[in-house]
Amino acid sequence: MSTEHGRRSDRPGERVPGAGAKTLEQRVEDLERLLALLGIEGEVALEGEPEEPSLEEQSRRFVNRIREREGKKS
Amino acid sequence: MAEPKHARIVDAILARLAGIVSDAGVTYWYAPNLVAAVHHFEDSYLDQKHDVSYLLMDLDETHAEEATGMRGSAAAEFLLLVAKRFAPPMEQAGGTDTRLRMRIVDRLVRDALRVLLLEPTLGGLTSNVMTDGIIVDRSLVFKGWALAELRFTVPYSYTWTATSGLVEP
Repeated sequence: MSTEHGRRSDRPGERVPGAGAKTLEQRVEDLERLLALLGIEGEVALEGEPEEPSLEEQSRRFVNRIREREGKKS
Repeated sequence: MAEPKHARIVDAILARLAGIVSDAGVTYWYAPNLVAAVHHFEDSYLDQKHDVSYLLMDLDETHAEEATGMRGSAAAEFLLLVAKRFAPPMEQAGGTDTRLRMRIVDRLVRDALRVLLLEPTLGGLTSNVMTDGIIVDRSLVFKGWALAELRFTVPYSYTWTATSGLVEP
């Protein structure tokens, strides 16, 4: 389905190709603004816990941080 | 013929880690049940069979010729994962279980540092494992475990000649 914001994704958080494509977080902000316009107060909460990254991914991030730090030193 | 120096360095590190004997913190806190060299840190390596694990992974290795010529300097970079099972029934942020988790991580890190620095030349294979410093990441999260990573670099040298090529002492 197409909108003025671009093609929609069925998966939460996924950025889809197209000008103005939005992430899940941006859509939540849109929804909160819409609720505010309608005079409804409150926050939109996302259900479910964020998935824990794998050890491999966490190690990669650690090494990347080290590389960035070393890059700044040199 | 002797094994490559890098392999001997890995063997030396693993042997030292495997030799840790717990004496309730007087010297070391936790004797490892698993000490292994791994290609990467797979989640499944942490399982219920082992209470304390030390996993060593290779990272980058650099080689350069020293100014004197015919002499090479290498630096082998490693990541060491230290992990102990820790699964309180209900851990709440800021609670006593979290403090205990942090304490266990501190003990694991100190055990690893202590054994690496006990003989920082690894039997003469390197000048000093602390040459490039050791960086510790205590921010790792893995359900049921207290764990941390240590990154360190082991410098070593070798020579070469026109007739025999590379010579590793």
